[in-house]
Amino acid sequence: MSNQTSVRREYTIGALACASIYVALTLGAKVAIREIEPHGALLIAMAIAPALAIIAFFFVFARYLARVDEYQRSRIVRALLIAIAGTLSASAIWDFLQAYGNVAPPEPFIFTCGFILLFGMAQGFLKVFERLRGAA
Amino acid sequence: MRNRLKVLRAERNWSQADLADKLDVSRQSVNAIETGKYDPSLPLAFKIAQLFGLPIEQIFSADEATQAAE
Repeated sequence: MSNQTSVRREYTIGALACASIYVALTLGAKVAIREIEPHGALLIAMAIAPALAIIAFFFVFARYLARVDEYQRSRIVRALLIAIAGTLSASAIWDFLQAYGNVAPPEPFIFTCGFILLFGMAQGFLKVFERLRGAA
Repeated sequence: MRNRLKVLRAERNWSQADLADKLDVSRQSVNAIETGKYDPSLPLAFKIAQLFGLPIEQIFSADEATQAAE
């Protein structure tokens, strides 16, 4: 197995682990908060528990970016920039609509989910764009 | 930027995957460099030159657009 293949494999395993832990913590926290009805520090700890999996994913992603080859890194960074620009644009528009247009505040997690979705779409879009230009 | 990577690779009967392994990059990177969609960094260009035992300028050269800009 080449080094780049093992880098991608480690990233996939790490990302899947983070996603699994995130789902488990999200569902676990929801059930635990409903059943135990905690207060104070315990409630805060349970509420932020799912975010820990997201923070862990950033470490997995940073490690991947540091080890992946420069061409792949440039593609990922371009996709990230597209996703950041799209998310911040939508957020800015919503902020102004909220401030001057009496629009309701966004649902929780909407921009986080939107960013992840845009990031995935941008990677796919860039791949298709490069294929159209002649690169595989 | 133009390059002779595909020719040099073919002369040695290496596949893109073989070359990618030797350079420790992905096959997609080799393909992108060969097709001129991606210009490698200086360290990677040196690594390529070292692998083929040639000076960088015998592998990479400025294309017409770059030369015209100069």
